[in-house]
Amino acid sequence: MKNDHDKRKRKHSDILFFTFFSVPSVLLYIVFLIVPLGLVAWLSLTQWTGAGDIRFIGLENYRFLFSYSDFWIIIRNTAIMVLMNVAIQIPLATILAFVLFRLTKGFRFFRATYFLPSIISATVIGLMFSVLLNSDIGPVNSLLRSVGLNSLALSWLSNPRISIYTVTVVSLWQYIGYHMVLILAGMQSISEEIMESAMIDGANNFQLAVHIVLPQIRPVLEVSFIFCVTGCLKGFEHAFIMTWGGPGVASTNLALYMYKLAFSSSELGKGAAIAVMIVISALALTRLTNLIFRVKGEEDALSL
Amino acid sequence: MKKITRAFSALLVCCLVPMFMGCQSSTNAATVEQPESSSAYTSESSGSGETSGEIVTIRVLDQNTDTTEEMAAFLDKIDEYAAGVANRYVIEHEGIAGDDIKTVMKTYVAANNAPDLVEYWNSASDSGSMMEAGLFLPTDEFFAASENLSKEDFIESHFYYYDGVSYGIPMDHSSGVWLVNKDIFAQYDLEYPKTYDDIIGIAKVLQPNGIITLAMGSKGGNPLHFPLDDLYGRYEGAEEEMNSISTTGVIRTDLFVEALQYVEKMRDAGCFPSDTITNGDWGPTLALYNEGRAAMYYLLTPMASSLTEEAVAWSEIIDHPQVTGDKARTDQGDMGIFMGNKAMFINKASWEESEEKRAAIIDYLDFYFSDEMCQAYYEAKGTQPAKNLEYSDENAVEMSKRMNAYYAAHPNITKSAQLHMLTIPNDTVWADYQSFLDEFLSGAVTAEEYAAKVQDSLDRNYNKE
Repeated sequence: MKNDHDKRKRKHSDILFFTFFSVPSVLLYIVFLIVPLGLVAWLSLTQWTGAGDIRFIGLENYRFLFSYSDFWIIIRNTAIMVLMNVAIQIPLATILAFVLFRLTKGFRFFRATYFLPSIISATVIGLMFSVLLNSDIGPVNSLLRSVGLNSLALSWLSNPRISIYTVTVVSLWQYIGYHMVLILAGMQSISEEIMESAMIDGANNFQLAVHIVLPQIRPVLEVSFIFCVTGCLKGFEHAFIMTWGGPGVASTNLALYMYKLAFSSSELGKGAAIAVMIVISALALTRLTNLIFRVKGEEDALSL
Repeated sequence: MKKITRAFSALLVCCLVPMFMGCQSSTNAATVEQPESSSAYTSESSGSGETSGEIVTIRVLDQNTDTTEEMAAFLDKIDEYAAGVANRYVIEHEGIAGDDIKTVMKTYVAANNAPDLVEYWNSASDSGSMMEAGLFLPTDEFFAASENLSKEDFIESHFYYYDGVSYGIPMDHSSGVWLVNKDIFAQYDLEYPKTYDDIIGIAKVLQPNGIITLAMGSKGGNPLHFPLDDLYGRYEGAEEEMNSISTTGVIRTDLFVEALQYVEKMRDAGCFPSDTITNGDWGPTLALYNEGRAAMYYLLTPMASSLTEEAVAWSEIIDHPQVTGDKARTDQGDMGIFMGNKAMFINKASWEESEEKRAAIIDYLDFYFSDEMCQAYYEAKGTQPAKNLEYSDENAVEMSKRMNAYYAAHPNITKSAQLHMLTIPNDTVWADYQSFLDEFLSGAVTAEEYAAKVQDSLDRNYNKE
């Protein structure tokens, strides 16, 4: 009886103790995330230039956006960015990480080399590629022309049909190293015994990668996918620097459109509506990624 | 052990809470500290003075950054002055170059933290929503209070009126000229163009040789919207069309489309770089000319100080190319490029805040627009301020001197084409106008489509009633 009482007292004291220490972080979370999110959601239902009165207009901003043809181009651009990054960036990063993981010499050098672009400011990378890809005076087209590939010397950033792909490839290239390091860390946490057992059983590198490494790093891959998808939704520096989202909106994604609406067009209500869409998309895509990985994990468990 | 851990944790929290509160309370005291991209001019007494109400702080947001030696010298003068008045008020200066100041200003305004003084674009296309919201003080009130400055001190045509009220004290009087690289013209035995048709003819010679005829692109609409309006303004009736946009709500006119179609024709003839985005905006466009890759350049005085010595040496100012045909104005020979689109705005709330603040604002503006500072502004920026003054060319930027000499030698040139940036009555429409220009110059939309898109934006965002 006394024991039960002591346990309850201890439990009560623990709850108080944990609450006491949780309150600051929860408060910070509420003040700096939940409240601003709520304000943005409310702002998305208003018309406001940033100066003067705020006018409540209900869902008018959303209605306008969904009926505006340029908005659908922006949605398509964002989808292209997400798909290209997921389909190219993560697989390439995984391959590079595995090659490094199996490398016996030069590991540190190559890891640093691949990681380097991701620590450089996206603004610097954007400026660098603006110069490299300048179709009039840039070295890329000069090189292509010098080897007779004139038809490939395109206007990489001013052609509305290809500018979104150019911008996406640049951002994709910059952050491959980041994902590679994440995935590599996951690989390095795999128990050596498992690897050695597989090698004693005669597994080659391909078999090691597919049957041992990839299943073991599934949680890391999941995180990498989520970072990649949400990064595409919120990243806008490359397009901002290289093309200003243009020509027109040809290389504008949701995040850049939000910025342009809010700070260039003085339409903070519409900008907030885009922000809400980004948050909803990020949550939905994160959940979708979780589900895909969970289903895949269950399938693999059943097959064993 | 558990007790020790808990005691230690509790102690940690006890330390953190006051620290957190300390951060909060130190924010006010830090307002006069020097942030990375700004400077605050203060004295030892300023902190205590401000709290006692004797010394106020005025926040100035402008486009003055120490990017060149001349600009650094200009900022030093403000610094010296600030040191001299530190016993009366503190000048907190934030300099942001280029269009980035728009983002900063809009953020401040949305956060209800607008600076006391701001150098901004003086037209509804950029500051209309702020004028509408009553953020700025009418200039008449300032001139009535200032003993040293009056409205007559400034070029009358550079005052912008929003609903009949002027809010900005005109800052600059820019002018523009057409430059040619005489070495390229000599190399290809070409005559300087007298008409826009001539420019197309020149492109037929230069483009096959890898030379860009006219360094011109469009990124965020810059700098294309200036020469586009220059061309459009050379048609008879264009000025009236532009001036009446706010009353008619019409921007898509036959003349405007015709001007756009001419730009299309020039683009198709290879007059411009093929990469109109990367070579757009002010810096990249000038870089093409500075590097000798382009034969012609449309120069406005704010860029005069950025021309390299080599470029200045190979440059020659030519008469403005003219539009030909039945619809062309007959007085084009009298047309140059003149404009004033920047102004200093006073935050109305700051003005009304206290006598001390008002006195500080008046004192600072009297100093900033003094004859000495206007001369220094000219020498640092290459652009003459909008204050009526006999400016000395002795220490001026070389190309500015030559531009002045050109206009002095052509006293008949007194007119200038109107600009859409001064007549489009809404900032959302202006942002669309500029963004769509990138699309247009790259060939993604036709002249007709471009005009229709801008008209659609005007219809949606501007109520002419």
